[in-house]
Order: sequence, then structure tokens, then C-alpha cells
Amino acid sequence: MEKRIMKGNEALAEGAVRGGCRFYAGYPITPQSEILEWMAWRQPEVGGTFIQGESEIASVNMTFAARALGARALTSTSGPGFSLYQEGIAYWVSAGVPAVAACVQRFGIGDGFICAGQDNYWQAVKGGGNGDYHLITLAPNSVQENMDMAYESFELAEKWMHPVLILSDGTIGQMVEPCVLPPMKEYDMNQPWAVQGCKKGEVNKVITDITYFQDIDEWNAGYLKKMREISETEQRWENICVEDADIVLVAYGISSRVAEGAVNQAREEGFRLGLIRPITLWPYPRKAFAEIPDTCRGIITVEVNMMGQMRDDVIITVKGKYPTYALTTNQRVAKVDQVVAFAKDVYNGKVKEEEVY
Amino acid sequence: MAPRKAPEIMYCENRFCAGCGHPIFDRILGEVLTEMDIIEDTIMCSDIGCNHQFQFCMRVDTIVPPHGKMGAALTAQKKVRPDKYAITIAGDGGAYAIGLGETMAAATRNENVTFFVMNNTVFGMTGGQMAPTTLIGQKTASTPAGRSAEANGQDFDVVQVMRNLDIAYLARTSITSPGNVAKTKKMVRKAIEKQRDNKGFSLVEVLVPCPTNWGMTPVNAMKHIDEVISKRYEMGEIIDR
Amino acid sequence: MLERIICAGLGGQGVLTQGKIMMYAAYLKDLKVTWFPAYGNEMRGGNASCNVIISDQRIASPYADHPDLVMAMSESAVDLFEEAMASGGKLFVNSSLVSEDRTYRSDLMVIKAPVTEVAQKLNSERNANLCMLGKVIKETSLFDIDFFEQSMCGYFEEQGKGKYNAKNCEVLRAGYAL
Repeated sequence: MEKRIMKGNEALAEGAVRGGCRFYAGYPITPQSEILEWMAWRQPEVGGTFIQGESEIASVNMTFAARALGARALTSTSGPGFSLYQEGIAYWVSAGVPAVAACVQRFGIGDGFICAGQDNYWQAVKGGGNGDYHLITLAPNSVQENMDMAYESFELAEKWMHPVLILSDGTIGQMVEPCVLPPMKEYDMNQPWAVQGCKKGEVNKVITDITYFQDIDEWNAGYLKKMREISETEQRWENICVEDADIVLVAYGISSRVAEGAVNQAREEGFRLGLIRPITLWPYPRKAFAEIPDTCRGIITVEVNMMGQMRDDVIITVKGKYPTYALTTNQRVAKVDQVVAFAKDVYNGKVKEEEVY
Repeated sequence: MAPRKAPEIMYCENRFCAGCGHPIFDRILGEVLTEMDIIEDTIMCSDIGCNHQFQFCMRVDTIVPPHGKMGAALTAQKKVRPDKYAITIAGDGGAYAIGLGETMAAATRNENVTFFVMNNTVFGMTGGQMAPTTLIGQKTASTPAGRSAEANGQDFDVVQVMRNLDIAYLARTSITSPGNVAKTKKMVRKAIEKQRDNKGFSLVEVLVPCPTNWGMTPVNAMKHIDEVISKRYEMGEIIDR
Repeated sequence: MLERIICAGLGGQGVLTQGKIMMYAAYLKDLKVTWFPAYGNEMRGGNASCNVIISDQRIASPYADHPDLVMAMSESAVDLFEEAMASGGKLFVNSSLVSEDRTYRSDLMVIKAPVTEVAQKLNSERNANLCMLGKVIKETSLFDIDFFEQSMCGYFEEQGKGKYNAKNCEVLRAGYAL
């Protein structure tokens, strides 16, 4: 078993390479540039392609082309770069191209800041581009998960012929932890769906909005069926001390690490705090919430943003059964004490339930 | 004289307007790919616009990225499958307006890819609005009083812009007569041969008529290219390395 | 066991490396460990720091909100991190650069060591960070000095800087002897 100390971003890049990624295009942006820098030497080493695109727009479309030709292709960005990806990713979806994107989130609107943040949530899980779609969205909370999720992301995308997004964040990306490295996967890019040049007597392939070549009603029905199946079967989560919790935290990524610390600290004090950690953000792990006891007094999302973006999904999931709150700490990751104190305030009825933004 | 039979790659009737220049070019490209025997070795990158109609009548593997992003997509295509030709049929709007950045980036890097740009001086599919190539004085759906340099900016000449780049091939041509069709066909072949020989970036701009949006008869539209457009824009081979 | 550590000082004092050497030793000892640098807005005013969490169990937060151990290489490092320290924590102070008459929280164990001066005397001022590590190893039960020295050398070798190891060890040992 190969084990190393690695930075989160590097682990994401290496996980993708070991998962068969042989194409990477990207544009420098903090806090994810280590992914690009890793690919710059690693792709040539494994016989793959590295391109530093002239922009995020170029990079996302290079990734489309590479994947359409069969190569397992990854691109990565952050904050405003992810905004520029949205058109390109919508084209991946409409053409059924199983490419993978990673967004290492930061904080802020527009240019924003380079500090850690969880500000791409709405954009990531509510579509982002035009049309009816969600991306299969994985949310790593450790260096190891950065590695493992990148490693399996292509197979997941190919299983559904639908793009996968790894929604990491600046802290997970910059953090260093020991990490187990999985073995190299071999991948044959001459897949039956990939364009490789039309042989004589064969029907040519056009990788485009599928409805151009298929009855639109038929396609719509098939697509909807697929999305519902993903929604039902791909939910992933981790529940910690939820079954008897008086207050349940919901957090992903770096916030889930802090929230877990808060659960540990609260339980030591005899305060029954629990944690639901969504591992997939779409499909949202609705099933995880079934474990919450009826006696629970409130659900709190812990988020590194201003408006509590993920709280929307909690509200949709619990359908008014429990009051919902968001502990939002803007550009600073919450402290464990702060989470515990806020949870106690909710327990004691001291926090007003905000309207939805 | 019996009409020449279309090559097999053209598998059905095209969907273009009567008098349109695009299908003439598509046929030229179809013949060149057939004569060079490289249909199997070609992956087309489509733009979005009238030009993309080729995908509904040509039997060739194709990808369709967002409008104008061919410079980026072709770059990746050539790197992922270097043994395949990476070719686009682009519109002047796609290549020079929304996609100018990607087109220029591919050219400045001298990527080993081939651009065929259909210049009809308008955005055809959306109803004939101004394109970068719209001539000064030309009336379009979005320059109803005629394009003025003050109000709408200068018209765009790719030759002026790319003349000093280290690229393999740059040419402008038209398809207004059998002679010009033959000339265009030679340039198309040459551009593809540059890619075969790893010489780098090639771009051939083809002046094509759009009688629908120009409000002209097909014959007058052809004349308009000969008498007006080809006088404004430098014709012939500009770079040949 | 859970040890929450902050290595803090000024840019250029090698506090990030200090933390990484601690991390590497913990890793070789098969403990769970995380290392997280302050970056972006947190680096105002030329301050640098990193968080190292070492535990024999799964680590939740990578942040040392209430550190058990702080290595303060500069006056500003004391200013920034003393207050948040856990009661009973060990505050290692670089007394070469922190004023003599400074008073500290009474519930902390304050260990002063003139690590910059010692490193200077060994013509190795840039290695004051390692000198401090030597003192930390002496005053805590985290690692055995021989094991730690070996893992530090391994760390530098992996970074392609193994050729300075003799000097590095000399400075580390000098800190341990303080």
C-alpha cells in the first residue's frame, strides 16, 4: 500500500491521474493552482496531455473536446472561474459527455477573495448553466477523499454518461494529510461512444446536443428517468450521533470537519449534538435525514458563506418538520466553540428562524 | 455535360437556403477529404450558426462545442488524437466575434489545426445582424442605417491581424465562379496538407453569399462578392510556409 | 491523545517548515496528523503560522482553535496566539526576539529559549526554527529525540535538501540541550 503526505489539491490531481485521467486543461486561479501545476509535470509523465488554456472558457471547452474524443478529461477552477465554466458544462450535459470538473471553492461575489469559502454551492448544485440539470456533485472533506473521489469520478460519470463535479474548498485544497494512493487504472479511450473518425460503411457520430439526432420527447423522457435514478441511487452521506440528537448540524467539506469537532466537544459536555455530512451534494442525501429523532429541536447548517446556501436543501428535505438555521461565518471558517454555542442557543430557543434568502 | 456526382460523404440533401454559399464549400471539403482519403482520419469541430448544418449532410465524425470555441476544442482534439485531422468550418461571427479570443490563441500558439471560416458579412442564422466583417456602410438587421466606423467600430480583416503571425497558411478566397471554386479547392487541400505535414495553424477564409439576409437574388449576391466584398478584403494566399 | 499545535512567527523564519517537520515525525510514528497553513488574509503584516494536529484517533477540525502547544518565534506570534491557548498549554517563546519583561497568562507553562542567538552562534541563524524544535522535543513527550532527528533528516531528504542535514542536526541538538 502506497502512502504519502500530500496537499489536498495535489491529492485531487494525483487521484484523477490514477483513475485514468489523461487530459487536463485549466487556467491558474487561487486556491487551486496546485492541481494545474501537478498536472503540468504529471500528465507528460503518464503519456497524457496538459494544456494551460488561455482562459477558463477555453479550458472547459478543451475538456469537452478531449472527453468527446474519449480521453478521461479533468478541468479545475475556483470562484469566478467556475462561473465561466457554466456554459461549457451545460454543453457537456446536453451532449452526455462524462467529463469531470473540480471547483476548489473560495469566498465572495464576483472576484471574491482567495480565502476559504463555500460560495459556489448554489451554482454547483442548482444547475449553474441553462436548462434542466444537476451535476453529480461530490464533496470531499479530507485529503484522502480528494484523492478517492477524483479517482472514482470518471467511472461514476461514465456509469451515467453525465458530468461529475468535485466541490472541494480552499481549506481542503491547502491542507496536508497522510494519504493512501490507489493503484493506476488503465483506460481504453477508444470507447464506442467516442468520436475517433468515421470508418467506411459506418454511421458517423456527432457529439452535440443529443436532441439534434433523436426525437426530443423521447430524449427528454429518457433523460428525466436517468436523473431520477441518479437522485435515488447515488445519495451518499455520513451520520455522526444523529439518532438521539437534540440539535443536528448539517455540513460538508471543511465545515463538516469543524462540525464534527463541535459534536465531540458538545457530547463531552453532555449536550446531544449530531452531524449529517452530505458526501454527495447532488443528489442531496435526503435519506440521511430519516434518522433524525422527532424530538430534535432544530437543524443547523454550518457554512463558510453569508446566506446559508445549503440551508435551502435542508428546508426542501425536512419539509417544515424541524426548524432550520444556518451558522454562516462569511469568509472565516467557524470555530468549534462558536458552533457549540450557536447550537446551544438554538436548543434554548434564543435564535430566530430566518426567512429564506 | 452530366452533373458530377457528389462524393459518398455527402449522404443527403443539405438544409441551406437557396443561393447560400455554405453548401458549395461543404461539397468542396467533402471532395477534398474523399480525394485525400482521410474521412476516417478526420474529426470535425463544428461552430454554431448556419455553418453547422454540414453535420446533417456529411458523413464525418464531429463534435460541437459552444459557439465560437473551436480554437480551444481543436487544440485539445489535436493533442488527444494527434493522428486525426482537426478541422473546423466556422462562421465569421463564431471565429471573429464571440470566438476571436480562442481563434487568435490557437493561431498565436501555431496549433496544428485547420480553420475554414465562412465570411458572409452577417450573422446569418439569427437573421442577418452585423458581424465583425460587415462592411462600412452595409445595412444589416442591427445596422439599419448602414455600419459606421464611429457608431459600430471598424470592420475586421483577419489577414491584417494574422499577417505577421508564425503560422503555416493564411488565404482568402471565394466560390463565385467555377474558376474560384477550383481555386478554393486547391487552398482547402493545401491547408489540410499543412496539418498533415505538421506545419502548424492554417486558416482559409471563404467569401460566401447570403442572399436571404442580403436581400439579393442568388446571382446578384455572387456579383456583390466579386464587385464589392472582394475589393474590400485582400484575396489570395497571404502566408504559405 | 490529541495535540493541537501552532507554529508562528514572521515570514522567513521557517515556521511552516517547523510544522511540516512535526507533521512528518507524527506520520512516521503512524499517528493521524493534519497540517494547515494560514494563507491569504490571515497573512497580514508579515506574520506566518501553521496549524498541526496530531492524534491517535480520527482528527475532526484541522484548526488549533485552542492550541495545547505554541511555538512563538516572534513577539507578534505571542500577541496572536497566547490568548486562545488551552489552559495548561505549553507556550514556547523565542526569548532572543521577545521582550524579557513580558508577562504571560498564569495558567500556561511558558518555556523561554534564546533560539535565534543559539542558531547565530552556530552560524545558522535561518535554522532557529529547528533549534526551537529541539527545545520542544526536550520539554514534551511527543517524540524521542533520536527518532525525531532521523525523521527530520528524512523530511529534508525528501525535499531534496538532505545535504544540509549535518548542520540541521547540530542546531536541533543545540536546542535540545538548552
